[in-house]
Amino acid sequence: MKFLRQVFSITEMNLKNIMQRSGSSIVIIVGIAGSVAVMVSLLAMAEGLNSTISSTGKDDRVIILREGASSELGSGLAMSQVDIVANSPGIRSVEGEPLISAEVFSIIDLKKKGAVATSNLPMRGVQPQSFKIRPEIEIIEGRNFTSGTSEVIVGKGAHNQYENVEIGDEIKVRDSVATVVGIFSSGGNVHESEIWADLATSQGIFRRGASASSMIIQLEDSESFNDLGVYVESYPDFEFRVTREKDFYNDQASGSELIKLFGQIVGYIMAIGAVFAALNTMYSAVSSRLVEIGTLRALGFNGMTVLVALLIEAMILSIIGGILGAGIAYVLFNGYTVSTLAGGSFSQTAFNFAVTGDVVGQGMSLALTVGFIGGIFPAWNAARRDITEALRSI
Amino acid sequence: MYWTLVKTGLIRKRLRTFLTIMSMFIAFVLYGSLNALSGMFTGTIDGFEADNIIVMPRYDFFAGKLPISHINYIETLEGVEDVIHADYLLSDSIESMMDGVTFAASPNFFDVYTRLQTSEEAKLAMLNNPNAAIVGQLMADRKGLKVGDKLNTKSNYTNSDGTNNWSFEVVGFYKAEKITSDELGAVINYDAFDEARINQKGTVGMIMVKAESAETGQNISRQIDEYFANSPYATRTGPESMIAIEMAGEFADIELIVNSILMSVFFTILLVSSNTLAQSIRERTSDIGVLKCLGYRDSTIFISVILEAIAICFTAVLSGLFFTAILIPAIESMSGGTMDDLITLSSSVILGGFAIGLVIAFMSAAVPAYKALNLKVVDALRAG
Repeated sequence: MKFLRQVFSITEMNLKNIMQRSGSSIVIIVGIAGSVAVMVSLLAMAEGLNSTISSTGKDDRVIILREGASSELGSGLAMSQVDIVANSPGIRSVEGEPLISAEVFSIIDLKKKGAVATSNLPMRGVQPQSFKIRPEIEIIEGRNFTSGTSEVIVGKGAHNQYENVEIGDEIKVRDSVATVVGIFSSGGNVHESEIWADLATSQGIFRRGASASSMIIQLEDSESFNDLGVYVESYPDFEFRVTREKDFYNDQASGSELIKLFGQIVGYIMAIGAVFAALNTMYSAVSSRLVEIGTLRALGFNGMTVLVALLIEAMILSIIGGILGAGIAYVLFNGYTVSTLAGGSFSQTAFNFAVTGDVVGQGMSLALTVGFIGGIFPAWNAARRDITEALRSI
Repeated sequence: MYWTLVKTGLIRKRLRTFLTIMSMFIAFVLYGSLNALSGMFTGTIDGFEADNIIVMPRYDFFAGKLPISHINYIETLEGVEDVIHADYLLSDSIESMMDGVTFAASPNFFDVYTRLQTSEEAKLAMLNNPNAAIVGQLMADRKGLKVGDKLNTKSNYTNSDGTNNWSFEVVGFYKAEKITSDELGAVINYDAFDEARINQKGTVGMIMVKAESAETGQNISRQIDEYFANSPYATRTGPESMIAIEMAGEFADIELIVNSILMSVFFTILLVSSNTLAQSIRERTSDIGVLKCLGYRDSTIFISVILEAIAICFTAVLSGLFFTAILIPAIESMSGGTMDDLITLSSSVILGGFAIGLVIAFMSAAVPAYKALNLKVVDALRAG
C-alpha cells in the first residue's frame, strides 16, 4: 500500500508540472498520435474494402463460371446450359420457379464527379429471379427497371460517385443509350458500385447473343451445395467452376490484405521513429528533474517508486497521443467513401473506411508499446542514479 | 574554429544527438522507400517503350477485345512500319502451371516488341511448331522449365476438344531488359491458338504499331481512335508508358489516400524531430552567453549552431537514404523478381531529401539561436 501511495504522489507531482514541460511532452503526444493516426487510417481502409467485398457473398448461394475463369469478366456460358442447370436438385424454388439467374457482367465507362476522363464501372444484366436470390437489393429511390426496356438502376455507391446518373438521366452505354429509373442499395456490398439492367437488354448492348457471364443460384440450404455439384458433374461437356458465393468473394478481397499489411508496416516503422522521440523527451524530462528525483530519494522514496511513476507519466502521455491519433483518423475517415479498382472485376468498387473497435485496439496497443519502451529506459536510468550525484547537479 | 564549436555541440549530449538522428533517420527511410514505391501506384515506371504505340479496347483495358480486322485499317495508315497483335490467356492459377499471362502473339512479335528479347533459334522453332511456347526466364527459373518440357495451363478459353486445358511445348526463353516481372509469362502462336479455341475467335486483346517516329506515332494514334470512335469496338491508342499510367489511374483514390497519409507520416516525424532539435538549442542559452563572454562574434556562434543542426539533419538524410538503397534490393529479392525495376530511388528524391533536411535545420535552429544571441550576456548566463 505504501508503495502505491508513493507512486501515486510522485505521479501526481509529475503530472502537475507537466505543463511546465509542455514543449517536450507534446513531442511524445504528437509523435504517437501521428503513428496511430496513420496506422488506424490504413487499417480502416483495409477493413472497409474487405468487409464490402466479402459481405457480398453468402454461404448458401452459388456462383457458376466457366472453368478457368477467375472472375465474372473472363467467364462465359451459353443460355442453354443455364436452362439445364436450372433443373438441378438443391436449388430453392419460389412459386415453382427455381431461384437461378443468368447474368451478363461487363464494363462501361462514365465520368466521375468533377473528373475529366472516364472511369470503368461494372454493369450487370440480371433476370427477375436475381432480386429474390439477393434480398439485400432494395430500391431506395425511383423504381426498378422494366424487363425488355433499356432502363437501368444505379447502385447507391455509383450514384454518389458518378456524374449524370440521376433518375431520368440518359447514360451512354457502349454505343447505346439507357435511362436511369431508380437507385438501389445492397447493404453496403459491392453491388452498390454497379449499374443493373435487364439481362436481354444487356446481351444486346454487349453483343453477347444467347450467352451470359455467370449464373447465381440460391441453394435450398448451404448443405445442398454437393447435390448441385454432383448434378453439374454428371454433364461431362460442362466445363464449369462451381463456387460458393462466399468463397468467391473472399478470394476477391485479397487486395485488402495487402493494404492491411502495408498499413501495419508503415505504422510500425513510424512507431520506431516515435519511440526515439519519446526516449528523447523522457530522458530530457529526467535530466531536467534530477534534483527533484534526488530530493525524493533523500526523503526516503525508493528507486522503484520513482521508476514506476516516470513510466506512468510516459504511458499517460502515450495514451493521450493514441486517443488523439485514433480520434483524428475517426473524424477524418470513418465512413469516408473512396473507390478503387477491385481485384476480379477490374472496375471501380466503392467502399467506406471502417474505423472498427479492433482497428482502434491495434492503434492503442501500438501507442502503449511506444510509451512503455520510450519510458522504461529513462525511468530505469533515473531510479538507479546515485542520490548525492543527482543532488549535486544543482 | 567552427568545427570545434560544432563538435562540442554534437557531443555535449551524445544520447540526445543520437536519438534525434535516429528519429529523423526513420522519417527519411519512410520518405525514401515510399517515394521509391510510388511508381507502382502511379504507373510512372521506367523501361516502357516510347516509340511503339498500343491499341487497346476503349472501354475495358483489362478484359476487352478488339476484332482482328481492325488491323486492316491500321496497316493502311501512313507512317506505320509494322503491326503486331496479341491476345491474353488468363489462367486459373490454382489448376495450372502458370503464374503469369500467356500471350498469343503474331509471328513478328519479338521483332516489334523489342523490350522482350529471345534467341533466333527460339523464333525459328516457334515458326515451325504451331504448339510452341517461348517462356519468360523468370517463370522458367521458378518452374524449372527446360526446352522440350510441356507447359500446361487451364485458361478462360475453351479448346477445340471442349475442355479449357491447353498444352504447349517449350522451345525457348525470353528476357525482359527492364521490369523483370514481365518475364512471368509465355508467348505462343496466335494463329494456332485462334484456330483451336471455340470462343471469341478472331479477337485480340491488343494491337501494337511500330511507327516511323514518335511524332507520326501521335498522329497515327489520333487517326485510329477517331476512325473507330463509333464502332462497337472503340479503341484507346497511345504509347505503352501512357497506357500504363492510365491503367494505374484506375487505382486513383487509393493513390490519393496513400499519398496523403504518407505525407502526414512524414510531417509528424519531422515536427517531432525539429522540436527536439530546437529544444536542445534552447537549453544552451547559457553556453551561448559563455561563448559571448569569451569574445566569440555573434555571427560565428550563429553559424556554428546552424551548422550543428545541418550536421544532424544531413547525417539523418544520408543514413536514411542509404538504408533505403540497401532495402530496395532486399524487397526485390523477397518478391522473387516480380518487383525488379518497379522500385527505384530517383536522383530527384535524393536531392529532395537533402533540401528537406536543410529546411528543417534552419527552421529548428535559426529562431532559438537568434533569440539567445539577442539576450544580454548576463541574462543569457542566468538562463542556465
